[in-house]
Amino acid sequence: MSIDLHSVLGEITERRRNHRDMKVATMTVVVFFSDSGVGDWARDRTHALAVKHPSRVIVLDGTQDHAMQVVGSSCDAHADCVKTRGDWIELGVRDSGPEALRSAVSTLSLPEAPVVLIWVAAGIGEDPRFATLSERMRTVVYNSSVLDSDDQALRELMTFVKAHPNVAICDLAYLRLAPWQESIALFFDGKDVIRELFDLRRVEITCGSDSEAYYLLGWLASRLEWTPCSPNAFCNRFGVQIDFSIQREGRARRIRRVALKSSGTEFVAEVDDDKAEAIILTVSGEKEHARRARPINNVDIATLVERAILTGQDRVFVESLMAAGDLLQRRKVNA
Amino acid sequence: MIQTPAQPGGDGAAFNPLRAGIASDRITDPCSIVFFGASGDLFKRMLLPAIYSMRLRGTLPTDFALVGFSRTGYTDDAFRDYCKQQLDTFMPDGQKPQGELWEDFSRRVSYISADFKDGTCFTQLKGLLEKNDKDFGTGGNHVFYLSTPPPVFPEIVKQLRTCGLDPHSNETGWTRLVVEKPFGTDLETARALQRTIERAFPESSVYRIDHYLGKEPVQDIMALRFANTIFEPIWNRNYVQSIQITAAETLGVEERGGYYDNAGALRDMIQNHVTNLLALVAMEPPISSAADDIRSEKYKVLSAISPPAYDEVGAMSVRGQYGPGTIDGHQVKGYRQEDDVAPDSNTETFAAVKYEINNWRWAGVPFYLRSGKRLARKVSEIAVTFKAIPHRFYGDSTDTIDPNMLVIKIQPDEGIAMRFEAKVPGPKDHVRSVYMDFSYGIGFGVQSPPAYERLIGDVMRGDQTLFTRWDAVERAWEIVTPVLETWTNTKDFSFPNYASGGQGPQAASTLFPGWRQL
Repeated sequence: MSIDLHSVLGEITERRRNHRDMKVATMTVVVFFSDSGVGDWARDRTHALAVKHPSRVIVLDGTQDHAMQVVGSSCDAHADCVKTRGDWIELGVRDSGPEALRSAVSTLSLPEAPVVLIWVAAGIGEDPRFATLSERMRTVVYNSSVLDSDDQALRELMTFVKAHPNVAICDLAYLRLAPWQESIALFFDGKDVIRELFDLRRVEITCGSDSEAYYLLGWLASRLEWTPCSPNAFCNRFGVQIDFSIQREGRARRIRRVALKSSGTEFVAEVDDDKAEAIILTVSGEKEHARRARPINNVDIATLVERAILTGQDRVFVESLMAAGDLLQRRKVNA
Repeated sequence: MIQTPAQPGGDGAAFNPLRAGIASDRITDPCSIVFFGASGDLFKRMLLPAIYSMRLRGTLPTDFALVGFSRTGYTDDAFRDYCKQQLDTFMPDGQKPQGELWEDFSRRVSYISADFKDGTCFTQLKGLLEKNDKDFGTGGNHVFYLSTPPPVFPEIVKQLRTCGLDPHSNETGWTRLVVEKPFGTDLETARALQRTIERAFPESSVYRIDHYLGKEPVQDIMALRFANTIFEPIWNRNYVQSIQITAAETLGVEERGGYYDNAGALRDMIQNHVTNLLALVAMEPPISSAADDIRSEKYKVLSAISPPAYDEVGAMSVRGQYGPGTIDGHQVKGYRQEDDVAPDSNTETFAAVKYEINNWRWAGVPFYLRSGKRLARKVSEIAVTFKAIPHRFYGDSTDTIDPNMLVIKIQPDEGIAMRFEAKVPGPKDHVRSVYMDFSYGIGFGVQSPPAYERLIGDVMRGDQTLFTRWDAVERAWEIVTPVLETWTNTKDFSFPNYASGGQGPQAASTLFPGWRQL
């Protein structure tokens, strides 16, 4: 079913005429969700993004029919908003097909600015709406861990990336790992400790949802040329086995602890609780090192999206995703 | 596939495949940083907050140590308490020192109560740095930050060399020297300081800091020019009428009367900050973003400015000194009534100069530079005024058609504004000026780090791009010397010649009637 945008366009024109338009436009943000349970989350995070970046926001609400059409300002629901007044458009698209969505987004997008799609829905592997919209986007932002569907979202993402290698896509679950990646890399900086990296025998991850754990394992595997050799182990290129375990604990989308063990040294990065401001790094055993602390810097979604836009196609992300996918495949076969 | 990653700093770091491609911000080597003058104002207001902010952002190396070195008699614990008090005062809410991060940071802070002329204190410093390398994994990498009063700089550098803390004596890591401005008080003293420094530190390890260059809009000057195609073709004598650079303050000398009365606006602002802005605006495109490629272009454009002959100084410069007046509705006293200022002071608090750049691009285009205290508005900006249209057919003969203007706003509103003409709606062909106004605060969601934070991070990474090379410092002194000497040797009997809160001395308008209103 097509979407009648006549009244929406009229309202946008009226708002510009009344000097309520923005001065600078950095992008058009298109948000799609089809589950009312994540609608508030999606709106709230997109509001936070629109307050920082003067954008035109197009919310495609897959839970409402086409009678629902709203045109407002990104400031309307946000007390922090002083300078930026981006347009905020909501459309009910429950009954709309991919071409209707594509047409609506094309009509409503700002012509000079990049378009970013934030997709908060499951089933991307089989959803033609996602495939159609994502092909026209500068960046596609996915969030595999917000759906809390174990590893299904990650599998779908991997399938999609394999089928659409030219779409610049990122996953917030992966972007959130940055402080942990930095902390783990830091363990092995320096000539006296780098050998331990190639002598790792065990990895233990404790976190609140699966995507982050698989991404971390995928990242390590892709960097160190590990391949899955059992449902709970990788093997390095010399055939040495590296066992791993994932323990689910704490808040969703938050890592609590990562431990890496070589034959003589244990490297542990952990936080005390979900609200901790620092990752505590301890190294015990042969390569013992003074206790250290690194800020977590749980950056907001606006910063993550900005990073995603700047990064474009992230090779390390894709390789980490593929390695995580190989692992999931191995576990599925054995299950 | 494993590829060779960029390593932090690069100096001897082992290959770490986990570093390839991770979203890590500005990785730096482990290091100890020593602040000479750690009980001073600059340290507590700017440097310490910058370091701690880096810690919070994660841009400070995790293996890090800070050493305070100053005359005040602190113990390590007392200095840690002092640091916490200052951070409580100067860090914004939400970034005050607390919790694990502060505990970890404070463990890495130590202090040496010292006489800068006492070699044993520097021997003690050497021992402390070796201990830091062992305890905190700082890898033999040392930053020495000179934030003392400038007269002490040479003594510190000599002592560092004598005690084997210079780069040539460091066999395990790197050694870098940060020199705060002013670099000398005139050409002669600058050269003398340079001679002392170069005996101990090669140019590649010297970081002459000008915090203006760490400001995001200043760095954006190059992006504006060289990351766009629409500006560079008109960035020359064929299209540009004039360029004016302003660094105006509403503040007076505050508690710096003693220092300022021996410096003045020409030394304090024009010779360094403002001249650096001129170099960025006028330089040729560098062949790469490498530090020395950019710094060579900056030096070349300064080389194309001829120092004025002494008999030309009067025609190309204006000086001023503020008297009493009103700022933001408050009565303020005149310069000569400020603390630690001579009641008959001849020091200028306002300076304006006109330079010409004698090269193919800029021949005939005047560059007007001005800086002053107690002016109507705090503003730092660069305004490029383009030439008038060659033939007009819009409007009545009484209509004015202003030339296009591009304004790069550095502070307080960081952004870029463009003035152009547009038709006034209606049946008649009238035009008037309109503005496009881009603000960094609106255009980008991520706040840029304060200038000192950026610059200290660059020192730790070994990136000299935003630091002034000696040849450019020397050239900036050479350009300004005739004006400086003329002003020093002749008393200006018109002082004070502008009221606080105004536009500066009347004579500035004679030098250039087109100054933008403050």
